[in-house]
Amino acid sequence: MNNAIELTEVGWKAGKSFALKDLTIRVPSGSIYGFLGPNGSGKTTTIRMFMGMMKPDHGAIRVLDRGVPKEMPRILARVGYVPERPHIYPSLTVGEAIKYHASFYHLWDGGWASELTKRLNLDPQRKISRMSKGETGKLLILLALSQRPDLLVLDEPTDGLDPVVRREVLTAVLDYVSETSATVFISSHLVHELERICDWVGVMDDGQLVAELPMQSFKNGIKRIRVADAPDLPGDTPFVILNRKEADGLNAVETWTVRGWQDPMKQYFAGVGATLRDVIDLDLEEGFVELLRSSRPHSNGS
Amino acid sequence: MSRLTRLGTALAVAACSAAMVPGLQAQESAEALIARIDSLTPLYEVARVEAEVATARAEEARRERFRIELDTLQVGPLTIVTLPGQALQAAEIFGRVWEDEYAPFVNRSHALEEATFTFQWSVDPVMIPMQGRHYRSEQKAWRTRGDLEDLIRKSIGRAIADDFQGTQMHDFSGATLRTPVSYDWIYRRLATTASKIARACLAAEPGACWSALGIDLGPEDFLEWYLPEELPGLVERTWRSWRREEAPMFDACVHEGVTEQCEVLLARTATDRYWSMSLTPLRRDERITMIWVALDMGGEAAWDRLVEDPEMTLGDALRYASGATTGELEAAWTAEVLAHRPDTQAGLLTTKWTALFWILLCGALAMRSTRWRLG
Amino acid sequence: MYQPMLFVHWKQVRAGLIPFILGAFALPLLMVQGLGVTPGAETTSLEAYRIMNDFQVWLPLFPLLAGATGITLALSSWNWDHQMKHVYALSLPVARWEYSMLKMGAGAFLAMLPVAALWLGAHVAVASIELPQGLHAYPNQLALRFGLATLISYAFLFAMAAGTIRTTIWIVSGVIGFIIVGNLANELLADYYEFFQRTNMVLAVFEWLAQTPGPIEVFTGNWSLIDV
Repeated sequence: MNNAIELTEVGWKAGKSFALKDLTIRVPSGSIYGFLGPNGSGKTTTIRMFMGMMKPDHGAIRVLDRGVPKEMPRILARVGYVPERPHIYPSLTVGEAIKYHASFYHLWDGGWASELTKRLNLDPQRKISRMSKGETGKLLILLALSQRPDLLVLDEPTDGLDPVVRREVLTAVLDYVSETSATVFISSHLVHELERICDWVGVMDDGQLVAELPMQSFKNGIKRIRVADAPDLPGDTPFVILNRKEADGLNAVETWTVRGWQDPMKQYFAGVGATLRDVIDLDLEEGFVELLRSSRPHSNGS
Repeated sequence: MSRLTRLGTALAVAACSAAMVPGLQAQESAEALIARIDSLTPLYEVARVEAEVATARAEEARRERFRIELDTLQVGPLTIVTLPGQALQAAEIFGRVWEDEYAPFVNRSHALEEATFTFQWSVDPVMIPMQGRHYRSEQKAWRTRGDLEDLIRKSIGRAIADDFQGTQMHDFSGATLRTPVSYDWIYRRLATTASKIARACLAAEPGACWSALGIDLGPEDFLEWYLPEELPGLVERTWRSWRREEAPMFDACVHEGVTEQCEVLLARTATDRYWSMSLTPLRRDERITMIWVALDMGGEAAWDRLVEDPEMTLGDALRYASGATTGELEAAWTAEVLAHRPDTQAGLLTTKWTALFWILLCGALAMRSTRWRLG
Repeated sequence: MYQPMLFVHWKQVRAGLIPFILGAFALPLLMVQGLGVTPGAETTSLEAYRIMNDFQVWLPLFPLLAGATGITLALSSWNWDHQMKHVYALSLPVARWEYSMLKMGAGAFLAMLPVAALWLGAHVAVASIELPQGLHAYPNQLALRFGLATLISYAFLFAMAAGTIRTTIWIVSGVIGFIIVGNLANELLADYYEFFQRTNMVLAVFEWLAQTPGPIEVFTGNWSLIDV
């Protein structure tokens, strides 16, 4: 099994307003896959598709080498899921919720659950409806991890949580991953958070996957370069121009944002009579913003 | 009187009354009164003319209606008039009721020979126009066949009771001889009616059922049937509200429990030949089952014997028709009733299985609950 | 899986169910209390008359209670799932049909609590009075009918609540539509077609539903605790 999650040309339409357009995603097994995208880009919809909660109009989905939705119970037995909004019954206490959840999973690790309860500082007698957002978030992580899943699907798990809780949650996840070879699929719009933990990244925008590549390539591959005497038409470039800002006033230096940059590509500029003045590293957030900007209509990219 | 005629007359009367009331209420002189009445004359004339026009129209419509084609057929001794195209149905339904329920007992009935029955089962708004002695079995809406059979049963019952018009049996039967109600209903009545004689009948005490039916014992002997504390309930059930002068006695009996007042009222009811039968613990349709028992025991010609002598008392007529003694008649009737203690929980067995079926069906439907609920 | 589901359902519904349990226990007792029969005294047919007369007013309460209990259990069964948009249920590793079945079983078990309460109450009620000659008590039959009626109303509403809102709208619209169209058809077509002269389709369907083998038949049967 190479991919924990495979979506192949999955499409879905909701009226005239939104659609997933021939989505193809490959989440390598054992990876921590960051699923980035602005609000409303289709991240949660995509997750619900491969979790078997929404039916695609066309396309094929496989999770942990099993078909969705045919083999859903078997898939879900190995998937720990933390949704965007808390989904457990609010009138239960923490202890009751754990007991209820545990009854569905053969691989439930009661010891690990108890340890996590203490570690995350959860009171078993406390009613879920009376818990804060952070406490609820911790409980959801506890439930997902105690199942001993092969795949963890986390949909905006730290959204709205304070930094302390966020760190607790992510630490618990990383600890689990370090022990097991579980795959983590984590969706978020908090780019800087994913930058630290993910080794793969997929970027969604307006129902489409605009990029899917290893995190390092993503970070290293997007650069801002300053070019003097740039040609009007750059022709065939070894890199992808995401954005091109014209020279201002007396300074004939243009600023380009490019993707897929590698050092040897400097030679290109000599060939077109331009001069490469500067190569500036971008962080993930900047790269993400530039990527989105270029993928949308009316962008300056080529 | 047609609807229009009635309306015209009512208008005239109402107008006159309305106009007269203020005058009557006021203390006016005779002259003023005469003048007021004279002033109403034009109004009366208008109403009279309207009424005449309406009457003429109604008469014309009636003549038109009489021109409707009708079918007449014979089923046993029954003459049936029906609408075109319904003769077959009439024959079938009347035939079923007559052959199964009356024919085995009734040889010849003068009353039936002289009567005419109508049959109409449609939404046709025109009623079959009839004159002379006739009995209607008509339903003009969507009802079950069972309802129509019931109407026919009642019609034949009313018609055939004319065979013993003016006799004790006529009062006993309540002027109708419909076929027997179910005996388990009689059992229920005996068990639950507030009457000591009914309880004795249910306990099969000799003579109790004969007495409860009110055959030889006269209604004035109602104290044999009821305990003093049961009299208020009886009065409440049987007192005819048009006897206004008896209202204080009614209140004393029913609301204050003064049993002497109850006895006075009941004694008065007992003297009425028709209403006295309402004092018996069993109702009309239950009492007449004894007539059918007697006919059954009497075999062929029992009916002829039953109606032979109008001067015969009820008990004598029943004994003569059946060829049996009082004790034998009572025993036969009582045995029939006691054998029909209703199985009040009958049907629960079937209900169990049908309920189980529906529960399982709903369970199966619930299991089809879909995953695709989002989006 | 079943026991935790049963616990969760109990937790959801207990506030609503406990009054029904108490009501089911108390109803036969209240009914008998109101009959005016002096405990231990010799009873006459007057008592029989009064019993059969007075408790008629109580009879409709039994099927009403059964229906209300079933409906409460059914709606509460899916209530939390509807609130959370079924996301939790759909994320559990159990097939949808199995999940429904377990839920239904949990609710059916809880439905037996008011039935048991009624059974007990009926026996206590009957033991507290001396029945007059000719009358008999049917506490077991009453409890059985009550149980069946509760389960049927539960099963119906459970199946409807298990569907989507769209399904429920379709069903309700279908029923209302049938009533309207059926009555209109009878009104308009009676003059032309014999079938519509003889048969009111809507009434015929409801009559079928209320008699064997219809589902409402259990509600329209004999609910008398005391009878001949």
